Amino acid sequence: MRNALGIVVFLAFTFFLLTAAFEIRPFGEPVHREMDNYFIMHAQEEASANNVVTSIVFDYRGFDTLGEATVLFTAVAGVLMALRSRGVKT
Amino acid sequence: MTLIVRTTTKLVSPFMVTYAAYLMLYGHLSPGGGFQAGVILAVSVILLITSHGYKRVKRKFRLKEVSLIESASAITVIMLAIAGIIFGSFFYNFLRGGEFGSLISGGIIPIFNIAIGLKVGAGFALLFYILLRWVESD
Repeated sequence: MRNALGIVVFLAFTFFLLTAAFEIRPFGEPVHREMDNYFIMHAQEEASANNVVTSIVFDYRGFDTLGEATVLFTAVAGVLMALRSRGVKT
Repeated sequence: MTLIVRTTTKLVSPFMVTYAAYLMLYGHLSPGGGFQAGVILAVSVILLITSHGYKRVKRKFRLKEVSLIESASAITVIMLAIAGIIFGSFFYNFLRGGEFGSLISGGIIPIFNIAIGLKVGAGFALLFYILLRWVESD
């Protein structure tokens, strides 16, 4: 019974992925291109950096980078808590 | 590990630190950035740990100092972001100016890059330290 359910779910998911793959837009033709053009035209004067990718990652989307740093900090804190050497007094 | 591995890692890891510093400082001009630089910085220490053993590396790069670097650079990032509020908004680039393509350009992006790089490098090294401390204590 569980095997049959698994096969049905697997086939449905494969069908879903295949339809998505066949209906994908051609490469290089995004739906919305206003944002890309804005970044390419204004990144140099607004962030005063030559590397547009860095100016997006560290300036326009600074929140994203801060979140990634927070994820790493949380990982360190979690490992430190799980594998502490001495017991914590309560 | 054997003498060959020890000598090679001793030879390679200073160059990796140099490469990490280059990626951090030139992140706003050339491909790269804080995260990649931090990972390379961490790998240079992890290479030494795998070849020389945790106990020998621990004496030079202390766990407390690594932890301090990680926390201090995390606070630097957040302070830099909060300082932007005075000039407009969170994460506002308030140090604009400088000639395009020169090292002193990009406003807060280079400072941010360095802080993120130190934070990621110290974080990964700290993860490795803690895991190894747990393995060695068993």
